[in-house]
Amino acid sequence: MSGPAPLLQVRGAGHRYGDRFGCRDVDLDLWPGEVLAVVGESGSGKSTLLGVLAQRLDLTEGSVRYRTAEDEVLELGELSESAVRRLWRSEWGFVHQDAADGLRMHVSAGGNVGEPLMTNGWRNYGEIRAVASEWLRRVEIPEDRIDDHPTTFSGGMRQRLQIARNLVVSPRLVFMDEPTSGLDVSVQARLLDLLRTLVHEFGLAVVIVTHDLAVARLISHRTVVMKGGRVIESGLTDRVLDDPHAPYTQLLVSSILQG
Amino acid sequence: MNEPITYNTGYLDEQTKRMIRRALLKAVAVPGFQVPFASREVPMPRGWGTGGVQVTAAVIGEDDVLKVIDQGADDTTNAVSIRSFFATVARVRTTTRTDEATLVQTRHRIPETPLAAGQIIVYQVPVPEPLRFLEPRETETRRLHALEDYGLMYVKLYEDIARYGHIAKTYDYPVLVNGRYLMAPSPIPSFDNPKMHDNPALQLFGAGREKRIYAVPPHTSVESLGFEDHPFEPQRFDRPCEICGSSGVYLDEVITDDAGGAVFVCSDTDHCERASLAGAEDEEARA
Repeated sequence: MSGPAPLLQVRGAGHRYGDRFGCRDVDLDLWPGEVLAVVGESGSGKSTLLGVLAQRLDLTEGSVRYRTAEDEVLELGELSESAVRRLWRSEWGFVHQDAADGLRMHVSAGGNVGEPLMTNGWRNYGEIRAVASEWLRRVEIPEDRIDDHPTTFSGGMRQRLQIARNLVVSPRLVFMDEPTSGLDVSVQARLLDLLRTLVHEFGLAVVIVTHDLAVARLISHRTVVMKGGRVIESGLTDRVLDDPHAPYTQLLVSSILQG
Repeated sequence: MNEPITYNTGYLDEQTKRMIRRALLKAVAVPGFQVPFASREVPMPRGWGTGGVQVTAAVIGEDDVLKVIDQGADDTTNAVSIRSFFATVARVRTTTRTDEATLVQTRHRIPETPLAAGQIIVYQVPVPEPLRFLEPRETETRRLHALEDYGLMYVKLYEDIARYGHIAKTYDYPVLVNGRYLMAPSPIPSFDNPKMHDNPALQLFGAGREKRIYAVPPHTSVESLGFEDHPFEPQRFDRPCEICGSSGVYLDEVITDDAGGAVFVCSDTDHCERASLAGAEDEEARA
C-alpha cells in the first residue's frame, strides 16, 4: 500500500476494570489529518477507549502504536512516563468535556494558553504573550480578555480557551472527550465550525468521542460505533450514518430527533 | 540529690544524627533535591526553626563556632534562644561575627559579610516545595520535579508580569539549582538570591514540619528564574543605612514615632555594628 502510514494503529486493544473489560478487541487506524468519531451510548466504552489511546488508562491487552513526527513508531504501552509526557508536551492535546478539567481556572487566559509554551522552554514574555493573544483571536475570544480568569468566561468561551491551550504547541493528534456537550445549541454549532476550521488549517488528526451523531456527521471523516465495550461498526461517517449495517447503529440513527 | 541533666552533644541522639546526616549526604549529592527525613521533636514549636535546629544538631561539633540570626539580627528572641540552646547542649562557642563562625543558622537572611570556604550555613525553611501554592498535591509536585516539568513556575511569573508589569515576588524567589532542580531558597529576600550562586560555603536547608532536607554544595550554580525580556531583578535600596551609612545592603524599616516617622537600617546587625565601628575609627584617625 502506498501513501502515508497511519499515525495511530490500534490492534486488539482492551482495558480491564477489575474483572470486567471497559473496552475490548478494538482495531482501528488513524491517518494524519483525519478526524475519527467514536460514537455510542453511555457506558459503551468510548471514553475508556479514548483513555487507553491517550495513555490515561493502561492497556490491559493488545497494542497501540503511534508514529512520531520523527517517523519513529512507538508502542505506547511500553513507553516510560517521561516519554508519554514528552508526547503530551509536543505532539498531543486533550480537550476535556468540562473545560475546568483542562484549564487552570485561577490563572489568566493568557497564562493558560502560554503554559504549554513555557513548559516547552519558551522564556520570552513578550513572545509568549503575542502568541497567546494570536490564539485568543483565532478562537474568537476578545484579545482584551487576555488577563481575565476563565472563571469569568462563559461555557463556550472556556471550551474555546481550552482548545487554544491545546493547539498552541501545534500538536499532531488531539483527543476530544465530548467537547460540545453541556453547551447550548448555537454555541455548539459555533464551536464545531471553529473546530472544523482549525482541523483543516493545521491538518490535525483528531479522535473525538461523542454521543451526538450530529457532531460526528459535521466534523468527522470516519466513525466507529461502540456498544458494550466493542466496536460494532466502522466506516466513512456518511456511510455509517446513511446506511447503517449493524442493528444497533440502525437503532441509534433512527432515534435522532428530527427537528 | 538529683544529678544535673546532661544531653548528648547537639541534643539529638546519635542514631537520629546519623539519619539526618544520611539525608544531608544525599541532599549534597543531588543539589536542590528535597530529601525526606524523619523529623524529630526538639524543644521548640514547629515553625520556629525545628528543621534548621535538627540540621545544625547533626553537623555541629564541640570545636564549632556558632552564629544564629533571625531576619539578619543576632539579638532577636529566636536567635538568642537557639544560640544558648546549642551553647548548653553542644558546649560550643557562639559568636555574632559572621567571619568567626564555622556554622551559621539563619532565618530569612544571608549575612552581608561574604561566606568563606569551610563555613556552613543552615537555613530554616517553612515551605520547602517551590510549587506548593501552584500545585497542592505532593504526588504531583514530585512527579513534576522528576520529569523536570517546571512550566508551572513560569506561569506564576507570567501572571505577575501580566498583572503588575514586573515579577512581584520579593522573597522565597524560586531558583534553579545546578541547572536541574527547582528549589525554594526559604523566605530570604530576593536581594540575597545572588549570594547563593557559586557560594564557597556549604548551604543546608532544613524544614522540620514538612520533613525535608535539601542542600546547595559549594560553588554550585543557583539561577533565579526570569524571562529573557523580564529578567530576575534583586531588590535595590537607593539610600544607605541610617546608623552605619553602608549602602548596597538589605535594609529594614524601623518605625520611630507615632507620626509616621521611620528610618531604614541594616537588617544584618553584625555588619551594622562593625561598619559603625570602622566608621568611628576612620573619623578618629582623621581628627
